[in-house]
Amino acid sequence: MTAISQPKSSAMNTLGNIWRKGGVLIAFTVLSGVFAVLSPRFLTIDNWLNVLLQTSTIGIVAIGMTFVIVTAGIDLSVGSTVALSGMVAAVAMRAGSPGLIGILVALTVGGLVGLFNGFSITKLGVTPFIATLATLAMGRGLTLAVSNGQTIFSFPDSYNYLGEGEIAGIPVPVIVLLLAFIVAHFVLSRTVFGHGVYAVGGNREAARLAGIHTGRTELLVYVIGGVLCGLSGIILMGRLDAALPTSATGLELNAIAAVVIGGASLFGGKGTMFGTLLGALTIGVLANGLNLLNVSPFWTQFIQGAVIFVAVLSDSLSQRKKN
Amino acid sequence: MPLLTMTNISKRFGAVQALQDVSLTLDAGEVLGIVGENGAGKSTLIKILGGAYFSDTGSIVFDGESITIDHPEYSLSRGISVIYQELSLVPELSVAENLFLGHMPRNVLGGIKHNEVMQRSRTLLERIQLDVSPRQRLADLRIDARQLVEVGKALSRDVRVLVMDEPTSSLNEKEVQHLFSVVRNLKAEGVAVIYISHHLEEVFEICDRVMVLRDGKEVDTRPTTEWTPTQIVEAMVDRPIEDFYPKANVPIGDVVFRADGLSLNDRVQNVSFDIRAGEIVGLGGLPGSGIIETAQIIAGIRRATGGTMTLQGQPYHPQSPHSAIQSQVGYVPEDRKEQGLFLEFSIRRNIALSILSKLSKFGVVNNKSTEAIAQKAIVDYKIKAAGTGAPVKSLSGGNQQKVLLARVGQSDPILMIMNDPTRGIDVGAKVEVYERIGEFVQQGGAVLLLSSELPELIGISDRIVVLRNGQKIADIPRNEFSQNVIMSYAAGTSGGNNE
Repeated sequence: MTAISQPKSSAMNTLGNIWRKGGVLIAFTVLSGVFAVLSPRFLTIDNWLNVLLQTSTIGIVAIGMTFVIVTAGIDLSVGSTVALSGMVAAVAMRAGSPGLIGILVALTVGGLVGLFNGFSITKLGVTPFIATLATLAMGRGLTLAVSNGQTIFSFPDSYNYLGEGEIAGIPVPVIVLLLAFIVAHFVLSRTVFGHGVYAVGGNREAARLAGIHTGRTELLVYVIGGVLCGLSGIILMGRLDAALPTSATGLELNAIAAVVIGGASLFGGKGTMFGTLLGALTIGVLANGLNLLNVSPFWTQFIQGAVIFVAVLSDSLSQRKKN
Repeated sequence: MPLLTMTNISKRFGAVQALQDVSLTLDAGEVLGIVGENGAGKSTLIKILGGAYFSDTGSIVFDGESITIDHPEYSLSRGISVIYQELSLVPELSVAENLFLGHMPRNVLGGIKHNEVMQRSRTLLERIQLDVSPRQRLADLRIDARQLVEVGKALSRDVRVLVMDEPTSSLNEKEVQHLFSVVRNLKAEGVAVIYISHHLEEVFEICDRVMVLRDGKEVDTRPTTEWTPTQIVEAMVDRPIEDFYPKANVPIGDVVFRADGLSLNDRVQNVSFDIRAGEIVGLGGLPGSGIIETAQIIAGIRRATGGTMTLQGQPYHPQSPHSAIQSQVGYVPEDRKEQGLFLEFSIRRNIALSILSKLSKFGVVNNKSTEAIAQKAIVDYKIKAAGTGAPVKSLSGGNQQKVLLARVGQSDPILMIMNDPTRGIDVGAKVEVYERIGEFVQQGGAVLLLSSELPELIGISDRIVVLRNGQKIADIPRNEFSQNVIMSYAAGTSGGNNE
């Protein structure tokens, strides 16, 4: 507006643009380089498999979150959904269900939670933030109710395989994570549905007038998110061979962070699966590297928060430029 | 000496000269009407008076003193209140809180003086003859009451000049009379009023003098008694219809679309018309006449509450924009940025969006055919762009509009509804849009055209259907077109008797 604020805001906009164009790649590379220099153990294959394994739960949830955020939505209920779907499966298996049924139960419960979210948002008109905030609370409450607040242990090997199995020395969760990203990348970038997801987030009214089924697209996005929470829940439980009623608490924060660090805009219409994968890995590398350097976990959390802040700031800045 | 004198006010926005050397005077206790077509400069003029814009040149004398209006707060402090078309009230607050929005009477500690607020609110409500409690939530009031609260809000600040921009656009006849009686009282108190309206009968009823603006210039200002409605219409629209409306000679074919008794509550009432192959039917009317709603019903955006439609002899009842597109009815919305395009997305993605299912197999979009479609559209629609991958926001307004037309054209419409298809684009691009419309009808397409520019409607339509207050008033063939005739039907100085 005034002559004084002009140069400052354009410098900030440039910062926003740089992040958007490849910030996550730069951040990821620089971080990895720094850790590689500081810690000899960082660049070993074992350590990288470890990073990927640690990232798998968040990464799979972040895939669903990417679909949701590209439609300009948000899903705060993912942590509860992961816990609930895993816990219901655990209860079913305790009652004698085989592992395969347990897997189906977990995926179905996740999908149903997503359906509920999608229904409240598209049919009842509740804003995504509020709708999924309510589901977050209800989901956690249900998890505690069905488990009676107890941890359930020991599941069939066929169930735990997704969490603790290995193929040629590579943990199964890592393979699941990478496969899920490849499929999701294809769906978001190449299919009619994926184009619709971008259109709904880019300009909802224009999408509707152009003949896109905006409601159906949005509903499906939350269902996909829910099913992926179920998958994530299976992996989480399998790795521990236990279902905790408090597991995955606060997971939504890291999942949203991965998507936003990956360059997606909370205002919708922008974001890629590749970016989200790098975003999730950046969070994983940060935790791993700081751990190798014996940095206190308190500071780790602070530094993660700071990285998220920079990512969200650049999103707002580039949005401001647009207006 | 006049209360307010504005002399030689000019304002330019980029290449557009919105106002040029406009002058006006206003006496205390006088009502001055300002009329003109969309884009004539009315809103710009009052925004300068209200401090929303700063004029490039010109001077303003208020109360014998030369003033510089550089901020809305300054206008308010001098007793100049502007009520813009978009109401500026807060629905969630009470009537009293709205009346004193931004200047609540406060005590020394900064607390609100509730008793004083209530007392003064009651006095204000009496002045605007509104029988509601000051405690009532604004959102619970009807639209006409809110309009009056807006007037009351202006009065809460010792108003001396009150400007009203289209205050009656959502009021019915009785509510208009209520507003007028409030205005007459203000006039008697010595308040000067500037009244802007499309509705000539209102202007004649309430104004002492009328100023006509056209293309940013003052055409004439006379006492109301020295104007006739016809003279005002002529002054508003009289300009040569430039022959930049290429009008191809297209044979008119069979009926493609027919609306029979179309209704939408009381906003569209029993409207019937048809459109034939090769024909461009203009739909004319003032804001609030129901033309937008009619277009939206046909495009599947709104559901009619009554009447039937047929498309090529088959019953046509679109449930959504999607089903309208499936039935080969295309819609070009009036606001390309908000309703039409995805500015951040590539040209390719924008153009292919409505036909993705045709471009895909098993839900997977074929990138090659999408690219081919976009390449062809760039050539066919003469879109000037770096390539199909360029984001739409990098294009000029005219080229953006062509991208929108290209997308609507992709789904092979037999009927195209175009709502202001050349809004805000330059003359060269307009001519290109007219040429595309011409090609479409030459291939047997049917067009329903809405336009905020009367010359455009007259320039390219074969027939013009005029609506007023939701009803069809006239169906005028091309050889009887004149701006005069259409304007007088639309504004209610001739035809129909439904007032």
